[in-house]
Amino acid sequence: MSTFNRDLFDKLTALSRLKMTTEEQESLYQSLIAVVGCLDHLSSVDTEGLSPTYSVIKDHKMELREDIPAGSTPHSEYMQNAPKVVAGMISVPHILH
Amino acid sequence: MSLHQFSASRLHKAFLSGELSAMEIASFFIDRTQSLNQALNGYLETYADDVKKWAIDLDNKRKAGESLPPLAAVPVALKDNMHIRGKKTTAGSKILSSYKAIFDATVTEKLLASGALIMGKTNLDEFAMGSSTEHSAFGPTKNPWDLKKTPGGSSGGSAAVVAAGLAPLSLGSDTGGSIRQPASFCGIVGFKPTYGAVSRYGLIAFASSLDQIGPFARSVEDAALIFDLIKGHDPRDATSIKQPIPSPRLDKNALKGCKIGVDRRLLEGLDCEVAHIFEETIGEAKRAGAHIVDIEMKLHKHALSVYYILAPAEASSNLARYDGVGFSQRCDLPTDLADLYDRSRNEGFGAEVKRRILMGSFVLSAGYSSAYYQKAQLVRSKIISEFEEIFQKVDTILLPTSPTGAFDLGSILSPLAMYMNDIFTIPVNLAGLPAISIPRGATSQGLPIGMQLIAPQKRDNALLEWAFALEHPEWVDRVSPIREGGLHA
Repeated sequence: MSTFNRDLFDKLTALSRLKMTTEEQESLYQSLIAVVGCLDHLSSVDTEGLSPTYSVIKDHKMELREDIPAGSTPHSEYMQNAPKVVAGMISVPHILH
Repeated sequence: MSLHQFSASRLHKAFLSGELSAMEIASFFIDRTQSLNQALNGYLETYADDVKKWAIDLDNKRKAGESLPPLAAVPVALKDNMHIRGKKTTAGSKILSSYKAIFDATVTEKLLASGALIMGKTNLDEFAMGSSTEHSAFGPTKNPWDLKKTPGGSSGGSAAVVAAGLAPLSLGSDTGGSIRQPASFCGIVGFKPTYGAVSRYGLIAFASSLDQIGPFARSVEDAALIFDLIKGHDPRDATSIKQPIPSPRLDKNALKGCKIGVDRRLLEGLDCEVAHIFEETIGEAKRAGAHIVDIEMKLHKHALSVYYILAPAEASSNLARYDGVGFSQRCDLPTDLADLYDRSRNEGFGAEVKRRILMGSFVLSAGYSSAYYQKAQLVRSKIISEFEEIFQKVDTILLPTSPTGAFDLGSILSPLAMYMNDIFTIPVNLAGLPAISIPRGATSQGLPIGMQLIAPQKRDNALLEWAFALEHPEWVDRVSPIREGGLHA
């Protein structure tokens, strides 16, 4: 398994959409090095012939509901929690400069 | 005997018989909460006005001779990651500090239909990530047995309010031990059902393949009572199991002939007081007619690593929705959309949540997902197989719930050291098994210690029966004294 380094950490913070102070970054970086270091021993576990578990429920099947129209939450209720609403729409800053 | 010492079933019967009115019960617990919650910080929000309205309605129904639902007039608290329509659901996080639910969780619907008096929402580690309730954005909860100690986590608030007699019942959620460990620390019963037995609809997701809602109570009988009401298939939760789980038949002779698996190798280096109570529990089980069978949980040592790959991976996906756009806290004066995302999330999440999001992003990222995430899923399969083999030989497994009793607030600063608190609870979630912590003794400092029973999937009823038979009589319906600060009620 590869080394967890500062470049990787910076890439991950960007992917995770977290803009941290220098102090926060350093603290989290150090703690992550310690945690990741404890995970590497899993490579020694023999998993030959096994399938991954994505659900612990055996023979579980996703079932679609009946194609019957059902009520939906009114738009006004969805907007109640929006930080900024303009003309019934969630307002956000511009995407491109 | 004061009302706060009544069990849930006793309160309900007192209401049905007319010995107590719902308003008397409601007023008592509202007053007790008002006088004690500030010291505990167990509740984040309480609903005195709603509780009184529900109580009046129940009293009117009783007077009119109407049939009364099974939990009528019983106060219940909910962990603040479960939705109640119109009420704040913060998940212990700044990023949801003003978010109000627009629908009820399935468990909420069921409790309201059962006549429960939902007293309020309880404190938790932020997004259920933690083992001490110190990671809440709204301050830590204190352990009522010693206010300088943590109540455990992440469902510390739910555990503390039941232990302190602010409600006889509460619900928590358990992803890696977050019901069982606080139950152990607070001297009460904490039950994590089989994965899928209780609907997760309306539970704020942390790790979707691991999360499960379950009860806290001061007796197995009370835990079984509320579990009966909240379990069941829910078409709104795609992971909800269809097979009904029977109700338990609680009998003190249930351990006769029961084969209990014990792996003493796991106890090497364990706190000697916990080890002593563990051995006492084994002795009690033998006296009750159980057979102790030596088992070996070879893969136990890998469970923590598997969990701290899979849970953060799932969390990083589940928490991507908190972006400051539609319903979560937004930063001030974002310069553009990217800045809105980056600063809203950074300002809204605490350090532990950020750590786990970053871990999740790491183990899922290109170049690493095969070595970490996919490998962890394979080892998870191996752990599940090992449990299946063990359950060919035994009916249930007995382990300590936690390696120690409650620790001092602020005493564990290393994330790795904190993660070790869940070493005995995590394997259960990886395999989707039901497990329960029951109080079995106390340390020399008077801090409770719980022991954990684990059963095969969908054997929740049997697990509750064995736990009932193994309950220590000194701990049934016992309310904590609330030490420190001169608070006694």
